[in-house]
Amino acid sequence: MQLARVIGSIVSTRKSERLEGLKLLVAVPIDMDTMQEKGAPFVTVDTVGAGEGEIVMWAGGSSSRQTDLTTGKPVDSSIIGIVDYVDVQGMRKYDKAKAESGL
Amino acid sequence: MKLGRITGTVVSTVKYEKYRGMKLLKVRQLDLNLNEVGEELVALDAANSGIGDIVLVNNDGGAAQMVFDDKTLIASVTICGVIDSFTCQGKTTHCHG
Repeated sequence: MQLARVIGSIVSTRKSERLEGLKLLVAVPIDMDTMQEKGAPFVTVDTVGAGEGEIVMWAGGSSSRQTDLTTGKPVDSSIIGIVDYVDVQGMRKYDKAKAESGL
Repeated sequence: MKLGRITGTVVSTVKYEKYRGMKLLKVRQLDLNLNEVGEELVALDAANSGIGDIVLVNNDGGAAQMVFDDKTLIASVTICGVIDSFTCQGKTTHCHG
């Protein structure tokens, strides 16, 4: 699992029927040391109700097809959790409540 | 999945039996500003896409097997959807002319 920030969403009408009903989001990987965006954005499937601006956990590969929503679906990455806070070696690297209140 | 643009078609006569009747397309990966990045790939089409379309490129062999409902299919890159529009940080990009 890795961290990413949700930065957008995708609308697609003509698609594989197996993808119907899934929410497609755009996310960009987050570096755990700096909590800054690092790397190329990617399209992922939301299984937890994540929204733009949130830091999320995502799984790639066949693991992404293990959720109830994505079983048997042609998916290569899924958002499987919304991050509340990140602590590394006693340091709070990220706190969603603080980030949202702008502190 | 990544964003991509269909840049061409691929015709192959002698090929893996299961590819018979399937549409093979050339696809180039794009960034969020629709600039071409990375290498050009050959993909199986599952979204009835055509040249110039902005598409969802799935780079997972397991997912390809799901799309075509064939657990023994050998494939790595699949076009899963044609993108109408996407919104990033408040900016909406429409992908159809």
